[in-house]
Amino acid sequence: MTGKARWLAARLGNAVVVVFGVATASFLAVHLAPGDPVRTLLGPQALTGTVEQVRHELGYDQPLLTQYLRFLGSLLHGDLGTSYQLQEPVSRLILSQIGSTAQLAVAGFVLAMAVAVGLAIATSGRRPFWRRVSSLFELIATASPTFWTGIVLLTIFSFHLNLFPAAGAGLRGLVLPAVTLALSLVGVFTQMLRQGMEQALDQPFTLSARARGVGETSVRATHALRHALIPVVTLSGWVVGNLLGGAVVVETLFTRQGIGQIMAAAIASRDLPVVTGVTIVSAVIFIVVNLVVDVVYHLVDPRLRTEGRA
Amino acid sequence: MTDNTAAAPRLESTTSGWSTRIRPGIALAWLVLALIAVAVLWPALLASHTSDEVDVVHAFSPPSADHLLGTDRLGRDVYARIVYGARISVTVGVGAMLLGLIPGAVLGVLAAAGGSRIVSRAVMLVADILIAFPGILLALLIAAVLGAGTVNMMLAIAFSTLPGFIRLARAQALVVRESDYVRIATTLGTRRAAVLVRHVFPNVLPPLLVMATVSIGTTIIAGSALGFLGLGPQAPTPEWGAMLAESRDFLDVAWWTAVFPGLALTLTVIAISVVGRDARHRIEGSPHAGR
Amino acid sequence: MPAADREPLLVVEGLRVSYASRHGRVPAVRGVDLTVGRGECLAVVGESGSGKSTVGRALIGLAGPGASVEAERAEFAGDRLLGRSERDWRALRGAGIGLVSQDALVSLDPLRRVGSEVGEAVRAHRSVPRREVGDRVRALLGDVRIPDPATSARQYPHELSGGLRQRALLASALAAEPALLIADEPTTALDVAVQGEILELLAQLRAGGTSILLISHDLSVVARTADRVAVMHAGVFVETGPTEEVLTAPRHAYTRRLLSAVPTPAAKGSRLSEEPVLTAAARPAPVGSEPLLQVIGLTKTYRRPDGGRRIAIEDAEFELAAGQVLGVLGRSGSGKSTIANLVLGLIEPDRGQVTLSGRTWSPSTDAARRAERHRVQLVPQDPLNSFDPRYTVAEIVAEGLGAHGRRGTRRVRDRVVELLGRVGIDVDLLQRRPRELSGGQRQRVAIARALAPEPDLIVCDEPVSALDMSVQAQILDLFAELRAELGTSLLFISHDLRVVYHVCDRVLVVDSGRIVEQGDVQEVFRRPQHDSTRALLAGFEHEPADAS
Repeated sequence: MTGKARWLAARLGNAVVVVFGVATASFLAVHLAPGDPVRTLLGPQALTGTVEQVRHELGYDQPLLTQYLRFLGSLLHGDLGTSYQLQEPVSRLILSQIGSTAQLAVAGFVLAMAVAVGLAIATSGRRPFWRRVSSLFELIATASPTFWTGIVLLTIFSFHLNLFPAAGAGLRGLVLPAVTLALSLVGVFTQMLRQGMEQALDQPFTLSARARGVGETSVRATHALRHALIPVVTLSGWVVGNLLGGAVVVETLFTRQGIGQIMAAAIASRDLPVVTGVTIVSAVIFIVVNLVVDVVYHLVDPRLRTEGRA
Repeated sequence: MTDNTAAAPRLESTTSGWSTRIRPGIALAWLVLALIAVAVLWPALLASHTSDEVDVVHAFSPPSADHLLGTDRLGRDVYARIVYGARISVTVGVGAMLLGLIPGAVLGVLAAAGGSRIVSRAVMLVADILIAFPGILLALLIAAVLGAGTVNMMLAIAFSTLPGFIRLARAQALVVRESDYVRIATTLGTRRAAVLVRHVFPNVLPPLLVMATVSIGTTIIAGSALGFLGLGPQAPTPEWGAMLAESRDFLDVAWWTAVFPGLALTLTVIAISVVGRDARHRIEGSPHAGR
Repeated sequence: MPAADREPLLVVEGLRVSYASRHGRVPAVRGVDLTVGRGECLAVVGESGSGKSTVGRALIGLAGPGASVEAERAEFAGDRLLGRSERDWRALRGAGIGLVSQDALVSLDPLRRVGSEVGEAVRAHRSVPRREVGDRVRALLGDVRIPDPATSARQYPHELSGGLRQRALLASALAAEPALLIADEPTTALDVAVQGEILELLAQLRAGGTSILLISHDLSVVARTADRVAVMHAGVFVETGPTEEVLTAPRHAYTRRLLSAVPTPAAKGSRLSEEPVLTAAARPAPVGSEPLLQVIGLTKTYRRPDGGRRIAIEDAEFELAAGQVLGVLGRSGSGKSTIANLVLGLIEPDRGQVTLSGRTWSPSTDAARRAERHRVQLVPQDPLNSFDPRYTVAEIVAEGLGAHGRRGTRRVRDRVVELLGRVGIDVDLLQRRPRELSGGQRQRVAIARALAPEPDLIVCDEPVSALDMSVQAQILDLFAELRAELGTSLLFISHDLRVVYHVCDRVLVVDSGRIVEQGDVQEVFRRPQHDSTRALLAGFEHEPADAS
């Protein structure tokens, strides 16, 4: 096996192990928790007989190991269990809602990235005043919790100015949620990009480029930007996490469809299969994204391409 | 493997140009933090009302002389609720951070310099698994399982900060382990445990502490997010996130019930970030920063 | 021969450069006059901090942010260099004056192909229509004697060897055909053989009419290439003149110091610096029956990331007698560091053994070695991670005495002061931290720490590589004194041929994990047997270049 193939196999293997670990951790979290899940589900008024019946139906009376194996087995079939509240298979629930969340996530990400690149190019290595302004903006954007910025935006643009609807689908309904989500990302993006660019602008190869007569903007665009994007690419895992977590809040706030909103409702009603299911799916998405990014990273950074050789 | 060494990347310091200008900013940040400390320890000092004075007649009144920031749907003073709510948020924030920092530091150092490859692999696998739960979802899962309440929130959030600390501690410990002065300590006959205590831990701690300070901001936000989703302490205990959740349905009539608690949150996190960044400046003036 | 009667290409008078800092303006260049004629090579020689690089950069308007550049007169090919707009500078850079820096690995954008780097100046100045840029790039790469221009152009910098990279960097600086080339340390970080090739290219350029401003700290490079030399110290030229004159009959004290600090072969056995001798009379060489250190059949391999095995050291055998200095020469990656680590007992060999005074030293366990551990110590290369950044000088040396808990006691303190005194470190530096010291001072502290447990053998891993020439001279003298007084053996690892020749009695030559040659240092250097040794020693002047 070539060095490259070995590395890829190792990464895939690692990913599989981690998914496995995630599933196990979720199972353990649910089953080792204090309290009786069935009682919690049915409420304190439930009769003992009903509780026992439901317990048997759901398989909670089996030994832990058996339950675990059944859990793994159904996972492999794509069966994430059935929602207590909605009596629907969790997987179907997720599939039907994921499109809306994906739409929101992509919109938020693209917006955040565009603003960040623009700000970074405009402020990196230029007059300190603009750097400070940008830094302040980044600080506030990162420190403000998503649900609060959403509320502020709602209050101003929806209730007082009536520019955008408070809830609803369609393009106009996407604007405020996407902006809210973007705000949670843009601070960190801009900061990393700007810092990356300033570091790149300090490097010897930038001196060489300038000494060849290349102009400042060109130096940034053709040399520095590529270097600055690399650390941002490694952020993608965190980005996915933030997008998914942010979706929970934003969809609740703006009453949008999506897996975030399912999650919030499931948490409120202690609908554990749904909570577990969404978590596992999110983790898998996270792991897959990380894997893809790792591979792309290796393809993109030529220094890493010759690993295993010379 | 792409390395996400923190639950959220921290705001780093910029190159020179900040130092002289941010002085007033840092003073302001410390002031805010002092106010918050007072709010946590002696809330009565700052608020004339208490957090659960129900006064339905005056529900939803806008900010006035009597109620600085207005009242909520039960007529409770919003300002007072914010002041009393500081306790919850700060406790959860600091508690979750400590619960992540201490085990994280120990595990990370052991993984790097403990001498056992199996321990190292096991620790990193646990960290990989925990980190795979994106952002807040792990906290949500655990909180959903454990149930609402302050302590449960702390535990839940601690789990999501733990892997970040493990990774940073391990990375730092590796750097220290490979440095010449550790090699020389070995040639001088120092035992491995003594090397850990004398050289490794003391040099691993500073960047960890910086990360810890900044992560308090993240944990506070996470705590309030959990509160927003109903996983925090139960009513009538004031909690900033829960207050925001309550206010959502009344945004058109009573914007102050939403804006001010959120403002408190944001200002707190900003103050912590600024102070943390300053601490970073000072610490990175010295060890292992190179020049 | 330079055409002295024609109009000089570059004329600068009274050049001053200062930088803004928190404490006011800091001068880097304090009044410098220089001229460069057409087809002439002027070298600016100095140590770090002299301001020589700043001069080069100021001439193309790249002195950096916060720099203030003034001059009474500054003209290039008749054009004024002062008061230029950014656009004018861009027109000049690359097409009028080119710059080639040191270390192509970082001076070429690692994310761009070599070809696009080389062609960048061509595209920026539009000297050639777009579709012909590729041809021009290949022609340029051919001019600098890169064997396969087409392939190399499509590669990335890290895929080329050090020598090819540096040539490519040179090509990129020459792409728009500047009349003057500023070469800032163009051969540092290169193997001696490759250095020679680059210098030849520069000579060719000069012969072809390009003027060169060569900035370097290396006097031998300057001697080979420059017509005239300017010696720079603390922001001013202390001496200028034709190369031969300045290097053989220096007039200024600083120049003389600089020249005598160079460890030429003729200087072997004598002092290089002007420092007062710190130690007492030499101890007579101990008469021992057995060698201090014996290495037999030592082999160490590592597992590669893709599963294969990499042989770091194979079947190494050598001896070191008490009081002797054994040098270890080899390219990077040849296995020198592995030998050091094995001798220090920091890693275990796969096969073979190391004995110390006849007793097994390695392979062994930590517990078994502990009693004897102190006998083999290390003086590492300078960078800051030689010391725990939190420790003061006193604590560092105290650690060497094994007195960690008893630091404060009078006995320990006295011993620390004594040790530091022996290496020339003053008492008032006791409470300083390593980062507050200069490179030379740090190395002295490292030597004091290594001496503290009274070792029989000190492994020196490139101990002077990061030091300026004059400081290096002082440290080498210190090593010589200590060895004479204490009779400590040294295992001296270095890539610097002259240093090894100066300091060592015997030498090992390592190549690809094997010791290919060993013997008396003068023998090996004068009559190398092995091909690798010959390649390594190419360019080493056996006869002194000048009687200085």
